[in-house]
This record gives sequence, structure tokens and C-alpha cells, in this order.
Amino acid sequence: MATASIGARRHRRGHAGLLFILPSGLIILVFVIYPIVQSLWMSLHDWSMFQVTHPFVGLANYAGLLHDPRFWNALLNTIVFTVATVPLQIAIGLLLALKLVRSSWWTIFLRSVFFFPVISSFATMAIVWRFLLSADVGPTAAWLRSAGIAPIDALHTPSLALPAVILVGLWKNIGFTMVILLAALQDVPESLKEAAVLDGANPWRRFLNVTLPSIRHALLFASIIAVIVSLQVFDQVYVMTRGGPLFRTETLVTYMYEQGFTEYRSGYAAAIAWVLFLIIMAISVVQLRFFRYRDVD
Amino acid sequence: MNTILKALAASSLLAVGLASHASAAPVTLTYWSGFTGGDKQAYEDLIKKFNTTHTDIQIDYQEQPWDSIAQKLPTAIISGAGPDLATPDYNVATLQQYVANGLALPLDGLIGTGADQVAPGVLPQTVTDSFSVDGKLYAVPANFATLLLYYNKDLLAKAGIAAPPKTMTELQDDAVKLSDGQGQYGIALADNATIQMWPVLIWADGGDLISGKCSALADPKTVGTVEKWAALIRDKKISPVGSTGQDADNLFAAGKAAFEINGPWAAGQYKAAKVNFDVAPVPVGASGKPVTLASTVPTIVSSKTAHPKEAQAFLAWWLSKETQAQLSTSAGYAPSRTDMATDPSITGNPTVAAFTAQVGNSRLYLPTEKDFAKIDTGIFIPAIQSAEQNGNAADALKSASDQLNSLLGCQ
Amino acid sequence: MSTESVPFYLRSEQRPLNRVLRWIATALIVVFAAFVAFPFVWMLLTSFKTQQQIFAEPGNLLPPAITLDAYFRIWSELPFARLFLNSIIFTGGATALSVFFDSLSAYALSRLDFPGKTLAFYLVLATLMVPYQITLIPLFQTVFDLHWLNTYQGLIVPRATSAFGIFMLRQFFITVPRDLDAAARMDGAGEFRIYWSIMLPLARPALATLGVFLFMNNWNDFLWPLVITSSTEMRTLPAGLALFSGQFVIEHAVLMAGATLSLLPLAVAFLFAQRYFVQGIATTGIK
Repeated sequence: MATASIGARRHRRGHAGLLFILPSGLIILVFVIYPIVQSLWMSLHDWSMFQVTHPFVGLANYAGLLHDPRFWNALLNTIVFTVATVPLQIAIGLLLALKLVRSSWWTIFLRSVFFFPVISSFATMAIVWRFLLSADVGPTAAWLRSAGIAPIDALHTPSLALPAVILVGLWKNIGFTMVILLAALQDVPESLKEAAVLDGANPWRRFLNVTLPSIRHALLFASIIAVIVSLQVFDQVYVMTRGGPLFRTETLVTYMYEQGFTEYRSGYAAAIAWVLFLIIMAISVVQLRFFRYRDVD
Repeated sequence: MNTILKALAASSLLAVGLASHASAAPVTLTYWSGFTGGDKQAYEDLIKKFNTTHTDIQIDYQEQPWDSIAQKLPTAIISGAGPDLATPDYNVATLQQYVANGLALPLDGLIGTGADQVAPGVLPQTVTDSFSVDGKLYAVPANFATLLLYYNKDLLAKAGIAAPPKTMTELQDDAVKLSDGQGQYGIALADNATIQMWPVLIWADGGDLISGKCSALADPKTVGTVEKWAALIRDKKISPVGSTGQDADNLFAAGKAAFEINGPWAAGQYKAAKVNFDVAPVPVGASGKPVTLASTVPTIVSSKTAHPKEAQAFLAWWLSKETQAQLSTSAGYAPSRTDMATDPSITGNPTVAAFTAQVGNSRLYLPTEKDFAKIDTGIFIPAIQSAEQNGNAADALKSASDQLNSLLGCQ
Repeated sequence: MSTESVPFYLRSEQRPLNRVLRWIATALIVVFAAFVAFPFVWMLLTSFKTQQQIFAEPGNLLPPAITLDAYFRIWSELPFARLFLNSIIFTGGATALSVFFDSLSAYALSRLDFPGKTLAFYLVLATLMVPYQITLIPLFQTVFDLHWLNTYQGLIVPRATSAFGIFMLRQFFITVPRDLDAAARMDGAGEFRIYWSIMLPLARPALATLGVFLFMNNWNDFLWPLVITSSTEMRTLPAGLALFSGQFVIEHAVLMAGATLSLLPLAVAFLFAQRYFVQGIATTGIK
């Protein structure tokens, strides 16, 4: 009799489970997954949003990408952007977190300052940054000039535009990483640290062998999110450089946007999106393996 | 049974009859317009005027950023969610996509001598040519602008230049004189995300982007012009490299550039920035003929509209002399009519008169190329930027020309 | 400062060299903080300038005289109150619903077994990896088919749940020990009861965190309302402010004033939720 009721309860829990995910499930199915599937379908067609019928072309769009120098350029820029941004974002976020881990009014104030960019609207702040980085009409340029230094026109110099975009991206997102790692640091057990001190470990070894492993879950979470966001970079590039100069800041998503909404090649744009998806998926899987993070399952 | 049916039929006929004699509710037309920013007020005022003077038609005027329209309009029209009227893009060439796919209504009833019509020959020829496909007109201009040479009177006076340049050579010399290599520029020459300035320079010297059906980018006149200007930019720093239209406007507004080739919309912000400026016709180049860029935004009627007659009536009102006069004086555009050159409202306003005077010399930029975006952002602008950055005008334009020819299907 | 009050692992920092290093580190952080705060300072000060002051003397941060012209223009040229209200309705509605639905789903994914559970979780994760721009048009079409264009439900419902939220909360719920709900189940309590009375109270910090995060994301989102709405009356604040940017002309003072006004509610909310927030992010499945 006992086993029967346990089975019945599990059955009820299964029912409950389905009911619980029903609202989210429905919404995600209709408004997220369905459009995503539609975009996959679009990528297999020569799809112009001006037309009612669209010829099926199979993998022709994907094949076209292989021979498209602008695609490879965008891919390269995106990878460079991500490789430069993510480690810096994690490292600086971690340094800030380590420094601000003790809660006092001073550290709380500083934490807020660093987190503020995260809550601001990037579209508007990118316009602000364009002004600040301008070698002609911005305040920094004026100050440099009055000090006798010729300001550098970063956004219009092919070799400097991408670093400028990276810098603005870091400004926006470091606060987020910092807060995540802050939290994790506050949970590092005292006992472990004391044991390490008693064992005679110096600060650096303590950090390496005690602190880092304790926060590895937070590090993984932060870096997965950072990678996903970096690979999809769009806002600041679109506002600050439009992918220029000479396509040096064109990323996969800005190229995708341009193909879809300026040249009206929605199928081709969808193919770019799906290639990007595969890349993000692959990198995320690698990260999970690397961190041997089994908790995700 | 029979009597009941007859009674029903009779009463329904009566009801229909009564309804058609009762005052009909006004027809509401939705209009998606991309005129945000500085032009917003002028257009809103005009729409308000239409709504107050027309009881049978009302316009529901909905402003969207241009990006938004580009994203939504085609799908919206196709699925029936679209507006009755719309400005599809500030690039004229986009109109071709709408026409080719049957999304724009041919404006058959618009040209004529009737009440809600526009007389033939009133629209400028460039407009009729680029807004018509197979002899049918598909759009009317929401505005018509030409570009003039803005110049900073104070900067010119300080450099001892008595009058604005009349030829391109003079402009180049003046620009050099007005640049100091340290953030003071002779001319704010934008090369991307802008109303196009470089084509004006090229046309002035007799060059072009497309000649006939094939690319003219590698023609000696085109190459020569680009080489000359790019060299001045690199060596004499007469203009920053890679500016967008906004960058260039900011420069002129800050008094950091003495010249800028720009349209009437910029006058307002320069006045607000207290720049002591004036406008002059674009200098004449090696071709000997005055030429400048025309810019016009088409307004289409959706092919799915339920009220084609009313929509065309609105367009006819839009093109009326009174409306065009108000548009010109409030937003600075030239009227889209060829018969208003001597109209006192135009001649009485010096800025408007100056821009209007150039209508006959103005050309549209790639007005009917379906692959406009590809040509502009993918081929032409990169070539110009490469010439500015690397000084390799001849090579950059040659390779651009090859790309353009393969796109156009030319040898 | 006695050595007793300093945590064990920091005691070596009392040595002079370390103290100098610490001062340098503090100075660096302060400089860095100034750099991070600078764009906001500039934005606020610029909103009080006239167009001329912005361009004529860019080096002068402080406006010679405070001009409220930009703010006045926003107030007079936009149905500001209406836009603000729409923002509140959209952001508040979407956030509240999302926190609720996300927590329900997260609870199911962490505590309950049902067919397709693993697939569902990975599917949700995968949706984070597709750039949203590519789904704009298909989504527009879907919302139109439902006759929800230019309506509140069209704005809110598609945003009434978030894959990020489900992921985050699920990570949190996994770390909560099962003793409490196991005991409740033995007592015969239903799943919803357990979720509502046991899980949710425990999850308050995580829920607050998600709430703040979603609130700021939805509040700042101007692309989505622009896609769904076409009339100014239905627009949200950021979308309405986009009307001040023309194709070729940006009115900078007005734009900065608008940005400041948009940021204000978020800043206020953030300051209040500060303690909660920083502590809250901590507890979100980072264990």
C-alpha cells in the first residue's frame, strides 16, 4: 500500500511539474521558440521580406557564407572582441570584487558606482561615449588640446576602433561580473582560509588554492554569460561605428542586421544567426567541460 | 413566411438607404512617417491643419524611427497590419522594392486637372522619373531638398576670404587655408551614414558612379576627383576621415569646420548653436556645369489600403501650393512643385529661395537601383574610405568598379 | 586597528610594504570609479546646457547657467505622462509576471520530475544563444496574427517570462536543501503549497535580484516597444524619446535630458534595493 501511494504521489508531482512550467512553457514556445524555428526555416530560403513566396535554396545561404569575405571578417572581429573582453571582464571584475569584499559604506558606494553602467540604457550611453571619444567635439579632446596633446580619433582609426568598442563594452559589463563574484567571495568559508594560513601558505597561494576553487561556480556562470553576450555584441558597435571604419568593427550581429534590414536578405541574415548560434553553443559546451561543471545537468 | 421575408428585405433596404444618407463617419487613414527629430514639428503641424480642415478624412499620424519602418513596413503591408500611407525610407531606391513586389499602390487617379488631383507637369522631372515604374507613378515627395554649401562667415573673414568659393578649385584652396591640422578643418566631409557629399564632388568634375548601365567608378574623371580630395584630406588635413553625417554636422555646429555641403534640415541646429553661417550654391567643378544632390523622401500608398481614393486625395492636398508653401517656410525644404519659383512665400525666405534655386541643377543619388544598399555601403563608401585612409584611390576605385559591374551584370 | 578585528587571511597586510600597496590599490580604484562615473556626470550636466554651449565649449563640463529648456521640450513635445505610464505598465507587468512564472518553472525544473524535463531545460538555455534581432520579423508577424499589435497584452505577454530568469532561479532552487519540502510532502502538502509557503520565502533575495534585473532590462528596452507599437500613445518612455533623434540631426541636450529622466526611476529603485541586491545576486546558484 505504501509503495502505491508513493507512486501516486510521484504521479501527482509529475502532473504538478507540467502545470508549473505551463505558463512559461507556452509563452516561450509561442514567442521565442516558434520565431527561432521560423528563422531557421528562413535561412533555408532566398527570403526577402518584400515577397510573399520564397524559393527554397537548401544550404545555399550557408555555402554563400563560406565564400563571403565580409562574413569571415565579421567572424574574426567577433572572436577578437570576445577573446579580449571576457578575460579582462572576469579579471577586472574579480580584482574589484576582492578589493571591495568587506562591506562598509565606502565599499558599498564604490560597488554602486561600478554597477551603475549595468542599469543604464546602452543605446543612449553609446551616444554619450561617441561624444566623449570624439577627437573633435568632445570634452576629452578639448582638454587634451588645451594641454597641447593632439587627441587620437579612435573611432575613425581602423586599428583603434575595435579597442575603443571593447573598452566601452568593458565599462558597461564589468559591474555585473563584479557583483556576481562579490557574492561568491562572501561565501568562501573562513575555516578553509584559516587552515591555509596555519599551513603557512602565502596570500597568493591562498588565493590560488582556496579562494579560486571556492568561487569556481560563480566564475563559470560569469564567464558563460560574458561569452554569450560578447559573441552577440551589437548595441555599441551599431551606435558608435556602424561596423566601420573599413569594416574593422563589423561583428556577426551587426553584419546580420545589415543584411537583414538594409539589404533585405532575411534568409542570408538568418543563416548568419544560426552559424553564430552553433559557435556559441560549441564554446559554451567547451566551457562546461573545462570547468567540469556537473551542476548544470 | 413570404410576407415576413419581404418585410425583412424591405426594412433592410430601407436601413441601407438611411445609412447612406446619414452623415458618414470620417475615413481614418494611418500614416507611418519617418520624420522624427528636427522635422517632426513641421510635419505634425501640417497634419493637424489637414485634420481640422477636412471632416471626411482624418489622418492618424504615427512617427517611427527609420529603422523601425525598415523592419516592420514590408511585413506589415503584406499581412494587412500596415498603414494606409507611409514613407518607406529616406533612400529613394527602396521604393523599387515596394513597387516590384506589389506593395505600393499605383497612383492612377492622382495626376489630372480635377479637384483632388495634381496637374500634370507640376512634379519635377527627376521625381516623376524616379518615382515611376513602367509609366505609372507610385509615390509623391514628402519633401524635396537640395544641398548647398554652408559656410562659416566668421571663419572665412578671419582667414581673409571675402566671398564663398565659386569653383571647386577655389573651394579646395580655401579649405586648405582654413585648416590648421590641429582640429580646425576647412570642410566637414562625411563619407558614411550621411546625406551623400562625395557624389556631389564627383559629379561636379564630370565623373559619376554609374554611367548608362555600367560602372563609371574607374573612369579617369571619377578617379581624378577622388584622388585630389583624398590627398588633400590626408596631407593637408582639410577634413577628418570617416565622419558620419552627424559627426560632420557636429563639427560645423562647433565652428570646427568652415564648409559643409548639407541640406536645409541642418539650418535649424546651426542657428541654435549660434553659428554665423550662410549658404551658397555648390561650387562648379571641372564639368563647368553647376550640379548638386537632390534628396527626396517618397510617400507611398499601401496596395492593401481600403481607401485608395481618400489616400490619393490626401496626397493631392499635400502637393497643393498652400501646403508646400507652409512646408517650405517651416522646414526649409524646396517645394515639390515646379510652378512655385516666383511664389512670394518662397522668394520672401532667403534660405528657402537659395535651396529652391538649385532644384534644376540637382540630381538624385542612385534613385532606381534595387541593390542600392549594397552599392552604397558595400562598394562605394569602402572605396572612398580606403582612398582617404590609404591614399590608393585608383586601386580602390578599380576594384570597386569591378564589383559594381559584376553586380550590374556589365563587362 | 587591532589584529583581532582583521580577518585571519588579511593579517599579513599589516606590514608596511603591504600597506603602501593597499593605498596604491585604493587610489587606483578611486580613479577607476571616477572614470566609470564620468559619462553619467557628463550626461547630466549636458542636459542642462543649450545646443550652443555643448558645441562651443565642450571642455567646460559645467553649464554656465542651468537651462531647463531640454526638459521643457520633452515635456511639451511628448505625451510624457502617458509614455511614463506605459513604461510603468509594461515594465511592471512584464517583470511581475516574469518573476512569478519563472519561479514556477524553476521550481518544477529543480524539484519535480516530468517527462521531457531535461530537454525543456536545455531548450530554455539554448534560446539565450540566438540573437534576438533575427526573430524580430517572425515575432512581429505572430503578434499581428494574434491581433495584439499596438496593445498592452502584445507588449507584456511575450515578455512575461524570461529564459535567463528561469536559468538563474533554477540554479538557486537546486542549492536549497530538500529537507524542508520533503517534510512538507510527507505531511501531505500539495506542490503549490510547498512552492508558495516554503520555497518562495526562502528565495526572496534571488527573486528580488531577478526582479531588479528584469525591471531594468525591460525599462531600457526601446527596440521591442518600437516593434510592437506604432502609435505614440502606446509607446514606452525610451521608445518615445527615440523620436528626438532624426536621421541626420541629433538634438543632444534633449537626448541627454531624456536619458536622465529615463535613468532616474532605475537609479532610485536601485538605491533602495542596494543591500538586497548585492547580497541577492550572491545567492543565485553560484554555489
